[in-house]
Amino acid sequence: MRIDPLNRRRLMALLAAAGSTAAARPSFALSAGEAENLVNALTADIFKAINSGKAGASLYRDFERLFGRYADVNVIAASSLGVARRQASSSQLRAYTDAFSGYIARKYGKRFREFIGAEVNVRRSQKTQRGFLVTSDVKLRGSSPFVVQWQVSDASGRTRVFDLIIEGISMLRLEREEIGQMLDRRGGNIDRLINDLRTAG
Amino acid sequence: MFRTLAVCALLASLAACSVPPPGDLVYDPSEPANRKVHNFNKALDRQFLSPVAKGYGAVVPLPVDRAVSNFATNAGIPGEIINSTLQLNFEDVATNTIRFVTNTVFGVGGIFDAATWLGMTDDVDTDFGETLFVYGLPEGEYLELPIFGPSTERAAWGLVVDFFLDPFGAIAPSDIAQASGAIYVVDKVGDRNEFDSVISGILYGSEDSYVTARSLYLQNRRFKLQGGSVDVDNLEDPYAD
Repeated sequence: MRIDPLNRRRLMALLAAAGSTAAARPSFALSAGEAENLVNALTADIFKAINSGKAGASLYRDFERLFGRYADVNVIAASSLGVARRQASSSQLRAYTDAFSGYIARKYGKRFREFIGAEVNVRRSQKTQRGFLVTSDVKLRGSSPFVVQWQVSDASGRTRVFDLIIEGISMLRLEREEIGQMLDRRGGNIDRLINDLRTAG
Repeated sequence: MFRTLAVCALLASLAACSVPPPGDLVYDPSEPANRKVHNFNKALDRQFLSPVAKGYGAVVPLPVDRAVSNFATNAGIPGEIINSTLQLNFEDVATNTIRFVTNTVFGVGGIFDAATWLGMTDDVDTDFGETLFVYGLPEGEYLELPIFGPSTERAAWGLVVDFFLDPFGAIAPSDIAQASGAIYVVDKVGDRNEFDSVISGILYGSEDSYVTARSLYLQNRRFKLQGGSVDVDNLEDPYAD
C-alpha cells in the first residue's frame, strides 16, 4: 500500500500525538551509534545489578526495572502471546504484560549469576527493517566467547531492545513457543495463564 | 553394544527426509512419539546421567577432565576433515588437518591441546548432517533421539553415517581405537557436569522442557549451518502485526 506524502504526514502527526506504543512504522531517526549505546548502557546496568550483592526477589525487581527501561515490553509481551493476543481484551493484555515482565525478570534473573565476571564487547551493527541488529561477543569466565545479538528499534517512539539472540536463538521466538504451549495446556484460558505467570519463572 | 542399540533405535524411527510445508518454522509431525522419547531422555538424565555427572565432577580433577575432552575432540577431527572435504570446504580441511597433526604429535596423542597454546585457530565443528545440508537436502522433520536428544531427520542420517565412517577408528592403533568409544562417553558425562546449570535449566526449569529443547536446538542448529550468522532478512518482527 502506498500512502501519499500529505496523508502520511498527517498520519505521522496523529501517531506522534497519540504517543503511539505499538504502531508499526519504519525507523527514521535511529543511528547505529545510538543502538550500540543503548546496548552498552543496558549491559553496564545489568552488571551493576549483578555485582550489587543483591539476590532473590530484590535482584529480580532490579531486573524488571531494567527490562522496563531498556526493552519494548508492550511489544515483546504482545508478541509472546502469538495469535491469542487478538482474543485478549485490553485489560487482559495489560495484566498479561505486567505478569509477563515479572516472569521474564525471574526466569532470566536466575541465569544472570553465570555472567559474573563476564565481558561483553559490541562488535558491529547492521541495518534491519525495524532498526539495527547489534552484534556482541560475550566471554564468560573459562569458556570460549559466544555471539549475542540485540535487535534495537525506535518503532514505538523510543529507542528500545525488542529481541535478544544468543548463538542464533531468538528469545522472542523461544518465549512465543513456550507461552503458546503454556496457553494450550490451559485450554487457551488467558486469565489462568496470567495468574500462573505471576508466580512462574 | 551402546552404539548398536542407539543406531537401531535411530533406524527404526527414520524414514526418508520429508519436506515441511513452506513457512513452517517448526515441523514436528511426530510430536507424540518425540515426546515419549523426550520423557525417556529426561528420566535417564534424572536417574542416571545427572547423578553420575555430579559424581564425576566431584572426583575427577580438572586436568583429567580437560585431557578427556581434548582427546575426544581430537579423535573427532578426522571425521570432520572428511566432511569438510565432501563439502569442498578446503579452508576447514586445512585448519583441522593442521590441528589434528599438531595435537596428535605435540599433544601426546591428543590429550593436550598444543594447537591452542601455539595460537592456532579453533577446530571447525562439522558433521555429515552439515554435508547433507551443503548438498541441498531438506532439514526434514524434527526428531528427538533416544540418548542423543534433539535432532532432525537430516541430522539423524548424518549421525548414522558419521558413526560408520569413523576414520579415527580406522587409523588409530587398535587399543586406542577401542578406548576412544569409552572416552567419548566419559567426555559426554563431563559435558553434562560442566554445563549443569544450563542443561538443568532447560530440563527442569521450564514448564514444558520438550518445547524449550526443540526451539533451542532448531534455532541454534540453523544458525550454525549458516556459518554462525543470522539471516538479517528473516529476523523476528513483532512490529509487523
